Amino acid sequence: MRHSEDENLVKKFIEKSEAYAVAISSGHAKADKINKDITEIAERMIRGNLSGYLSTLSLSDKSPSASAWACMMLIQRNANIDSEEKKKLAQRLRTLEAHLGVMRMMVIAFLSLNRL
Amino acid sequence: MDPSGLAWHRVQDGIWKWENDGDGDTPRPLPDGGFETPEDGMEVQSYGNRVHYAYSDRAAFEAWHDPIAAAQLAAFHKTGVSAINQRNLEKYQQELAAYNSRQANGSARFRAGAFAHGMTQQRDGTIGGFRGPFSFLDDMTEEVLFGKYQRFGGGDRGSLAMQSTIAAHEGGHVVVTGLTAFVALPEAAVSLTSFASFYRSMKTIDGALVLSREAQAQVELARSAWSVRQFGGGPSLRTGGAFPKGSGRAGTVVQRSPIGPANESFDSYADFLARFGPASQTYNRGMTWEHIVEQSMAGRLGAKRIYSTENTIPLPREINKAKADIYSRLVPGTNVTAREWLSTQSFEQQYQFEIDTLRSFGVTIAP
Repeated sequence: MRHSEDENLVKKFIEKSEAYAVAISSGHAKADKINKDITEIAERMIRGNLSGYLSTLSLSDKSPSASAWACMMLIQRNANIDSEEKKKLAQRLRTLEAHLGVMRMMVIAFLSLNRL
Repeated sequence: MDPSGLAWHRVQDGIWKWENDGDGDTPRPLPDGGFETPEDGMEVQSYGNRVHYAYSDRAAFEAWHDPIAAAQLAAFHKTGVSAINQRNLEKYQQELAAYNSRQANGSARFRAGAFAHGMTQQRDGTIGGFRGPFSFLDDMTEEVLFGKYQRFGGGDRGSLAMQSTIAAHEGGHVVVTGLTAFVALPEAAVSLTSFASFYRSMKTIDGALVLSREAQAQVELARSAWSVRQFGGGPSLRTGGAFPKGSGRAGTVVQRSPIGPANESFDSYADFLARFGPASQTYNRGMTWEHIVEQSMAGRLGAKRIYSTENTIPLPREINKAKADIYSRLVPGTNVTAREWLSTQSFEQQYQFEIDTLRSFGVTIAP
C-alpha cells in the first residue's frame, strides 16, 4: 500500500471516528453507518499491516474518539493481540471515557460485550 | 385567627382542630361516623364540601400543619408581603372555600394531581389536605429573594384549583389562590392582567417564582430554566450544557421534591399513571415519564421494580427520545444494539447505565 493511501486511511479513520462521536451524541441512525465504515477501514488497515497506526492512534491525545475507536478495533479485529494487550487497551479506553461524552456509553457496552 | 385567615384552636382536651374556612357550617357526618384516619394521630371530618382535621394531640397537629403554618406565617410576615395579603384577605378566604368546593367535584385529572401532591381521598369522594402544595417549599432556593409583590388575576382553570393555598417559606414570596396569583418578583413591577401573560413574562425574569398551571410550583432560576418535581426516593436531576440539539432549554434544573413515600411500586404503567397522571400534565407538555430501567424489562425484572417512583423520573421529551435512539444504536464493531446488550444486564447495572447516559447529556444526578 502506498504511503499516501496509508495516510488517507488513517485520515478517514480519524474523521469517521469524530463523525461517529457527533452522531452518537444524539443517537442519530447514521452512527450505525459510520460504525460500519470505521470497522471496514480498521479491517483494511489491519490487513495492510497498518496496525501500528492504530496503536499510535490509540495512545494519542489529539482525538479521544479516534483513540477510543483505535483501541476498540485493535481489541476486536486484530487477531495478533493477546489478552494482556487487550487489558491494556481496555484500560486505555477507561482512561478516555471521561472525554467521550455520549460515546462513553457505547464504550462501556463494548467492554462488557468483550468481557473486559 | 392567625393572619392567614385560617382558624386553628383547641376544641376539647386532647384534640387540636384546624378548620380551613371556619364559617360555622353545620357538620355533615360521613356515613361511618364522619372520620377518616389518613395518618396516625389525625382524624378528618367532612363538613359538606369542606374537610376539617382533628388531632389527638398537639404534636400530631403540628406535624401535619407546621409546613402550612410556617409557610403562611413566613409569607405574611415578610416585608412587603403582609400588606398585599391583608389587602386581599377576604379574596383569599373566598378562594380557599372555592378550592374546597372543587375538591368535592374534582375531575380525574385534578384528583391525579392532588394525589401526586400527597393528598388523600376521603370516603365521601372529597380530596383532603392542604399539605401537598407546601412540599414545594423545600425546593425553593434560598437565593430567590423577592422585594415587591404583584397580584395577577387569571381565568378559571380547573387544575389551578390545586394552587389555591400555595405559599412560600424562607426567602419567600408567594401566595397563589385558585384564580389569583400573588407573586413576588425580584424587582419591581410587572403590569399584567392574565396568568398566561404573566407566566410568559416571568420567564424573562431571573429568580422569579412562578406557578405553573398544573398544580405545581416552579422556580424560574434563570431565563431559560424551569424546575419540576421529582418523586421521593429517586435521584435529583440537574440538567444543563450538552443538551441534544433542538431541546432548547439548556440550564434546565429538575429538582427533587420529597413528595409522597420514599418509593411506590405499581403493577403496570397504567396504575402508575392513575396515581400520578401523565408527566405532560403534572409538569408541562414538554415532559414525559422516563423509566430509568426500560419498560421492556418489566417481564424479566418484575413490573413493580420498573413501575416505581424510584425508577421513574420526569424528563424533557427531547432527552428521552435521544436516549432511546442511542439505545437503538449498534455497539461499535458489533451487530448488537446497546439495548440488546443492556437487556442482559442486572437491574442495578441497567439503572446505572441509564443514569450515566443521562449524565452524558449533561443531566447531573444529585444525591
